[in-house]
Amino acid sequence: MKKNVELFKAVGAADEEMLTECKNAKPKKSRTIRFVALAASFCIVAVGALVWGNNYYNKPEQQPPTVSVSPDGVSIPKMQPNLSSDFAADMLAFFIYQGRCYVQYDSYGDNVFANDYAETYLGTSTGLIDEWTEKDGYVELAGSIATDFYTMKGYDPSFMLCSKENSMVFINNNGITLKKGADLFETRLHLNGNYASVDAQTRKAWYYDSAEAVEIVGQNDVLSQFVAALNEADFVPLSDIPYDKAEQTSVYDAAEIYHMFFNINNGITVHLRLFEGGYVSFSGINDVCVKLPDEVFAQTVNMLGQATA
Amino acid sequence: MNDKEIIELYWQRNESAVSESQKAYGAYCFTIADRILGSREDSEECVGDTWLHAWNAIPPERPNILSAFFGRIVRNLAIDSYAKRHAAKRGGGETALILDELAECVGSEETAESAFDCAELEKSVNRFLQSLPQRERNIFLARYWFAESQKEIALRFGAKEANIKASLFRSREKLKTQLEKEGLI
Repeated sequence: MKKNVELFKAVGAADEEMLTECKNAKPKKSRTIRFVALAASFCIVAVGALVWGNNYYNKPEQQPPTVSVSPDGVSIPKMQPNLSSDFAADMLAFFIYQGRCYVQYDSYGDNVFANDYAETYLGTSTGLIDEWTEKDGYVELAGSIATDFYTMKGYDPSFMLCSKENSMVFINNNGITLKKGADLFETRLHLNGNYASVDAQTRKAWYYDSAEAVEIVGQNDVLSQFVAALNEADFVPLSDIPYDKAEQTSVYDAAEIYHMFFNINNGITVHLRLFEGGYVSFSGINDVCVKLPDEVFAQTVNMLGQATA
Repeated sequence: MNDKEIIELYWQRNESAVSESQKAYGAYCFTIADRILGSREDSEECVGDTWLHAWNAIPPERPNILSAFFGRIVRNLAIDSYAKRHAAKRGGGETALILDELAECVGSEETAESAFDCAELEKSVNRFLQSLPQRERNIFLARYWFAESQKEIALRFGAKEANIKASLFRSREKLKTQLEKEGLI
């Protein structure tokens, strides 16, 4: 057996108390945010499965509705928060507001939005949902995080909200239909002409942290064409990306090649994943992607290759 | 049914112990296996085998924390299954990344027999874990016990992914130093 596999197995002998401690671990507390005691990392809301996709399991009769395609576009079904021991997914900060489930997209640590971008106070989530919460606990303002949340200046509140604490951004990424790329990248994310810089990283560097993301400079035309193509392209389910399922276990291993980070003027980052074959997804909505024309994608990949070389 | 009642079913050799285990911990065990294997079919097989191993182990064992007991079994089964599946070719998925990271500590050479005294290695890893600050230890276990992705860990611990990577890097360096100091590598 390989030495690293033996070490991996040896870690399995960690004391039970340490495992319990790990499962019960909470995010660092800030002065005002209270993250609830999410006691078991193995048993959290189905929303995690819808967002991150990889670690979801439940009984066959409880399979969540899947992404569907119609002439109107690709529909990501409305998430029905339902948490019990039958569900297993990843622990994510989320809350329910106006019947929509907002999931944490990113946290920027400093007060990027505190003064300028957190606009109208909408409510305070209770942070009382945990894996023992009964179904009738999934009510308005319930969630796994307790925080004041606000509209975000310039963004549709039915899509994006924010919290001043740690500059957290929350996205409602379900119950939506996306047809053209512009439905997301323009209407919701306002990408075009709204970014201060763009960074790039190879897949390997992103996973292994072997190299920092590098800024793409002097390529405004290529970037503009890339964004324009994003807006023009049609959405398809991420599962449409072809790869050899006999050889690889996920599309991220098989086809992902680059990461791009559009640093928006207000301080948030729009993180895109690029896949072989011309496919691009937004990391906040992992169920869908767009397919770019070959020529635009090729020149983008060429640009990224040069930037990250 | 609580843990004590499930364990009692095993001690009574009552076959409903298996269905109750599946009901209470099936999803949990599946998640652990699936993180390592990335295959629904193989993961379900590991979970099924977990109950068989538990049936053979209880009695005489009487686990203190049933989730950890089942988790350890299914994790070992999944690692073995992964190692067999990927013996001939380079694997993909999160487990391949995890193994590459752990190779920084001990290398990844294939040996005909175990390269380590397993019991000593486990003890050493436990001493190492005890020596870590609590938060660093939790991050290490989230990655190398529960096989969570760095992104998942960052979200769970409310930290930037770069900080998680840095924490894991520091921990691996410490582990390597300890293993060298103790003559295990």
